[in-house]
Amino acid sequence: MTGSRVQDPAGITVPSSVREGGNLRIDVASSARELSLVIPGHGRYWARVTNGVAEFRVPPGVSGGTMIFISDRVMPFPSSAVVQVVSSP
Amino acid sequence: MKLEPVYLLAPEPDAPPPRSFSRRVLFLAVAASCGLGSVATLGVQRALLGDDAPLDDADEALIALAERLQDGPVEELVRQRDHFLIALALGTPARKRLESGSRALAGRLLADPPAGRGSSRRDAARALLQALNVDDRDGAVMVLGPDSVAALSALAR
Repeated sequence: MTGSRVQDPAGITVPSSVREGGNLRIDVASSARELSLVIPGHGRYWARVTNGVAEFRVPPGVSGGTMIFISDRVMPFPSSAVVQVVSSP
Repeated sequence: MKLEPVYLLAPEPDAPPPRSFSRRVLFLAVAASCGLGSVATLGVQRALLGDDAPLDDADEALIALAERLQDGPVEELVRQRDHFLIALALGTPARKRLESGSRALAGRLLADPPAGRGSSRRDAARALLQALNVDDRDGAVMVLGPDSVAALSALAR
């Protein structure tokens, strides 16, 4: 994983990338109890927030270059982020 | 005349073999348990996207926010593109409502001067194409047209 991104408003903080099959840690500052994650070609996932952190393991078969679309869906000011899956060395 | 009973000895019938788990069944059961345990531990559930996937109130609010972005200045759409892309990635119902914003975002990405080339622009092009194709491999072509998709694909490489 490289760097980290804080969206506006800073409801969720994510790394800019995650490795294939890796574990994605998302810091959640908003009131969200679960996050929505959409992976093109694989479907939609939900990650529960526990103590301000949501963890998500990239499913097998999700290859490098795939984008993961994440939202806390907290209205009226949702926090959203896009994380790229990078190939494992 | 008196009849006497005669008893003959015969071997007992074969008893059915005791039922037991084979190693293969045991291995599969353990593997399945570990997989389910990992998913449960991470608190992850999966749902499908598509025409039949239900959108709840929060999804509708995300799409409405994206519609406001596509109706506003393109600079704001580019600045808040993650919000737009998250809504666009909700599948066919969202894609149908966000066509003009998708075209505006694609146009801006393709119109940027060469000096603007970089990972951010490449990632944005890649994200837009994938969000449009999230549940339909032809989604991007249907909205943007083949020429724009080809240009965006080149940018996304």
